[in-house]
Amino acid sequence: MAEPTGATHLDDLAAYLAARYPIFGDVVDRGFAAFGTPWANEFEATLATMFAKPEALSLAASGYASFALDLMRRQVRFERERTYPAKTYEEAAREVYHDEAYMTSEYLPGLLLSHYLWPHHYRQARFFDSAFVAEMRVAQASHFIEVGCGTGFYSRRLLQQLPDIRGVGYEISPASKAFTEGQVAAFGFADRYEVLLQDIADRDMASTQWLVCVEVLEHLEDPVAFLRLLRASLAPGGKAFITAALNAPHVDHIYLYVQSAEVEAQLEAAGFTLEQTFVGVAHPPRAPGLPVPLVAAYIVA
Amino acid sequence: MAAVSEAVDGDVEGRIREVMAGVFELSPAEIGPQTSKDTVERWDSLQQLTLVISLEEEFGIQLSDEETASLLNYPLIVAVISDRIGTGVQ
Repeated sequence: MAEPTGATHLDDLAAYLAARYPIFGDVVDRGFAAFGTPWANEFEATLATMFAKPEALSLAASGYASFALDLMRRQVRFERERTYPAKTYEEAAREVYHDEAYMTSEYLPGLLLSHYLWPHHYRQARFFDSAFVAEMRVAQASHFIEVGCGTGFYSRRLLQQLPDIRGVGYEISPASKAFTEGQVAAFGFADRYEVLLQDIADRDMASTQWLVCVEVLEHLEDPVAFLRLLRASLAPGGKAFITAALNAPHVDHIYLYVQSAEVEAQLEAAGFTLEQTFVGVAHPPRAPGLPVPLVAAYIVA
Repeated sequence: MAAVSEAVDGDVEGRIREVMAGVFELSPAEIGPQTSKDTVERWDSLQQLTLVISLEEEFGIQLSDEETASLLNYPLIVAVISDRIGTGVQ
């Protein structure tokens, strides 16, 4: 088993994965080939800030491998069955969001690394920067809300790019709240951000001009009802960045979107007006007709 | 005893070749020590998981994440499967 060598964290990550999980041996090289030095610099900064010590980086790498392999196993079955296993929101919450050990050791580090290692995730982040954050900068936005923080990757991205902005995150998972707070603090933005442990379905959230909600819809039994809550919280003239994962049979995905048009129809049914759209594929279809994981991101008013 | 071991081991390898042939759409005769991710065009990462799931179903075992991510050639597959089911192929 190869341990990190003390070179850059990105090199160490690549070496660790190649030695212990050879199937991911070229994943860092492929990321660099696709996105170049800016990607490498950004990823390196994230790894160095979040997983500075070799043992932390090794754990994150193993978490990523387990997270990705679990999804790939489910993807193989999904290609055959074309449905997600029946699961209620309560079951998913109990099985995943409130399992602190699983969330902390595998789910959250895996998800964070996937924002860089999965091309469709990274392209979605770049769309967020170029379309949504840029618009916030022009508007001199002063405050934002993120619903469903996950790892805190998108909130941190906003805090990093807009030095005067303040934000609030709403999150139902204690592990996710802690991870997000840890990431925001590690990057030095703790004084501009707080995370509330609150389900917006239980209690009204504050109103905001700028709203972020990344890959939450597919975790819900009734995404339209949730979207209506988001729409109600958006102040007049406000805008939201809302995304969904399609054909992505993660352990906690219970609402299956097959085509991006389904997400668009739900956004419109909830009262949003579509302004900009991004759809990214994880990889080309393995065979004609086989479903491919997608992300669909929208800027809506 | 040696003859029995060879028969058992040969059966395991035959079953592995059948599974791999099915996953990669090859004939069992095309599967051998030279078969690896580098020599089989269809052997991408999701096909690797298809192979692992098929091997698990065939032999009634559960492979670990590290095994799942490492079984990228025929000799290694034979060694790991044989070890897991106790035939001890070297």
